[in-house]
Amino acid sequence: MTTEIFDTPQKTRLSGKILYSMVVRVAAPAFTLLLLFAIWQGYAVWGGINPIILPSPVHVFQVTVENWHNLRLAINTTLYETAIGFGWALLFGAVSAMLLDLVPALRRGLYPIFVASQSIPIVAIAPLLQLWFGVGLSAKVIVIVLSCFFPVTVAGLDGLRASDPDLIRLYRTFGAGRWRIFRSVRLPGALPSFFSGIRIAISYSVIGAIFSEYIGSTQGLGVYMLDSQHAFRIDLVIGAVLVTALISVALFVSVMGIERLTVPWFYAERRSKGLSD
Amino acid sequence: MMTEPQNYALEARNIYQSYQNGAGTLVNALQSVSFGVRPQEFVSIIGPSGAGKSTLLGLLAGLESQTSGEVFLHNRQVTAKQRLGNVGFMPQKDALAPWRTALDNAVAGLEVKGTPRKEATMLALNLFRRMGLEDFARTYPYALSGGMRQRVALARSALAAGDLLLMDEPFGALDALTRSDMHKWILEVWQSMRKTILLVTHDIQEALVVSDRILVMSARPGTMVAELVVDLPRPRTIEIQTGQAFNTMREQLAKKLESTT
Repeated sequence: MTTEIFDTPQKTRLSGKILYSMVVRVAAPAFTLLLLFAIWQGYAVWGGINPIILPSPVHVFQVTVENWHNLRLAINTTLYETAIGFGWALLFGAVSAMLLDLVPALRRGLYPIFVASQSIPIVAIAPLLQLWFGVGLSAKVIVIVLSCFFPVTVAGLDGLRASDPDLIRLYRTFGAGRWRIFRSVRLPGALPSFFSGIRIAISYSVIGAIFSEYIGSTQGLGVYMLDSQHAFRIDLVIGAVLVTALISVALFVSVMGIERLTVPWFYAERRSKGLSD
Repeated sequence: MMTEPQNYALEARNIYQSYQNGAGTLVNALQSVSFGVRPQEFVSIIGPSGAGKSTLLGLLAGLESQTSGEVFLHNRQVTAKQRLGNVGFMPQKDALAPWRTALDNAVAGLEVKGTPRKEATMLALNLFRRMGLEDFARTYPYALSGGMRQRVALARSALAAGDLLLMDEPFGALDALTRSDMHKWILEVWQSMRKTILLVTHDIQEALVVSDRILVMSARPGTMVAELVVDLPRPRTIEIQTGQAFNTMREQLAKKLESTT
């Protein structure tokens, strides 16, 4: 018993470290951001630039707040599209990863096509999708799915293929069949990997949604940006861009939160190995 | 080594195993391997590395089929597929699922068998108590030491299937102190659960401390070349381990092993 070491005392020491690292994690990017805004503000005010071409961040903030009502409607529409598109991308990505893993023939047949699908410039085919599926939701969802399913597929497939061969052998000696092994060994082991893909996908999905609106729509952040641009309201465009970035970050952080709740063991293990998480 | 018909918990008759290696040549891993393990007997197989000990154990567990020969469980001939789920197996690495607590890892085999959750938990907790693991039931593997992890893995394999437990050098990666600690736990499992154990090892000392009988295997192709009955009293205390009889057996086995390589 004396040779066994349990990490309770370590944990209490760690919590102070974790708190510190969390503060740094928030403070460092906030400081960088403030610095950037300060430079921008200084340049816009004292640089002799036409404020219509380069509005100052303070001005952008003011007009964005004034326009909040319109902007909020646009955000709602885009978030709605993003949610549906991302949901489908998640489903498609996860199912395709599992199928590619389970069926070697599919892996050989479909994987290259998936890879090729990623090199298709969506700019070029989005108008075609619009033509085939109309200006409704379906064309937009397809654009979003195309722009973000792939990271989920690749990361998920990698995770599934990296399952512990010793654990699989052991489960076989338990008399476990293919499906049981998949459910009890391979899927839970692949979850951290899946989440890496999902984190990338969520940020792509917002861009995908806005882009799909660019092609043809009546509402949404994409439309808001286009309209503002046509009215030469660069201040509004910049405001919408910043809001979009904020939304992406918020969604990314939410996914990370869900990840910590779903695979807490993964982060605990990393911390115990002295890796940052 | 074949004697008159016996009541065996596990018996291998004339097992051959060959496979194609990377270069495409046929390798005979096992040749004419025959032996039996009686119910509640503790038998060890020692042999040089590459003797095909792990191959033999994987095959007996049902992970692979033998090229020829027969395997019997309680005097009934069984195919590899029939062995899966009926023979307990403990691999070299602890292979604990990092997403499960120690207790949830330990019930994995029972879970596959369809044992009700409550019953499985009770069985595992009982064993944990006997193995000094009860305080770590809810601990995740990353927070356990190597010896502790291996002990959880032992509990998992012991609970998994039937009365037979095959162990594939499960203590190879542990330091000497932890290893002798493990011998205590494996004997505890063996006695309290009335298991029949077949242990593969390359450590003569280990084999002498735990076994009723030791089989010596030669390398390439692997086959049984000697047998030694360890008729020493249990528990095998330090006094016994430093005694004349123990040393003579150790010397015999060492010479036998040397002559096989």
